[in-house]
Amino acid sequence: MNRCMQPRNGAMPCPGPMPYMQPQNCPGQVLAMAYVPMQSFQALYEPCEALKNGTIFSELNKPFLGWKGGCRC
Amino acid sequence: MLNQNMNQEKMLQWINEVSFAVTDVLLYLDTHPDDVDAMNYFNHYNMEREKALNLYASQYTPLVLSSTEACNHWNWVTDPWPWEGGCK
Repeated sequence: MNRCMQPRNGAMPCPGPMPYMQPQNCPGQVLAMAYVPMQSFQALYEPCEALKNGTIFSELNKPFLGWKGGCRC
Repeated sequence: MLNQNMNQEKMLQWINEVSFAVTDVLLYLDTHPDDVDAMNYFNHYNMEREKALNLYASQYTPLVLSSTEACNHWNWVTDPWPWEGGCK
């Protein structure tokens, strides 16, 4: 076992490995650079729907679906 | 859309909706200050908001200081707020 993986004295061992997913790179991306695509003024909700969803932009309506380090799906 | 037949609850709901729309498009305009469509959207709903706030103030009670008129009684402090049942 790699020494880095050994629990310290008194520390609880990790309950188990998390499922690992190989990250996918897009063409042209370089390491250590984060980016946010520029948004366009489109796909708007009507004001009543916007208030319910917390955004006027349907493209930004991203309900949180994560659960305990994974996906609910 | 605002109309004279709305009851107090409906009018307050409309004010909340257009106020949210105006606030959200502000955030977009912060990063897109030359987007004409977004500015038109802002102008439209900001005007709708002002109209609704003024109509609400004239029929019920002021919700913001800009639609408050000081006459012989300072109703800003004595009228019930929406969360105090002022909408019922």
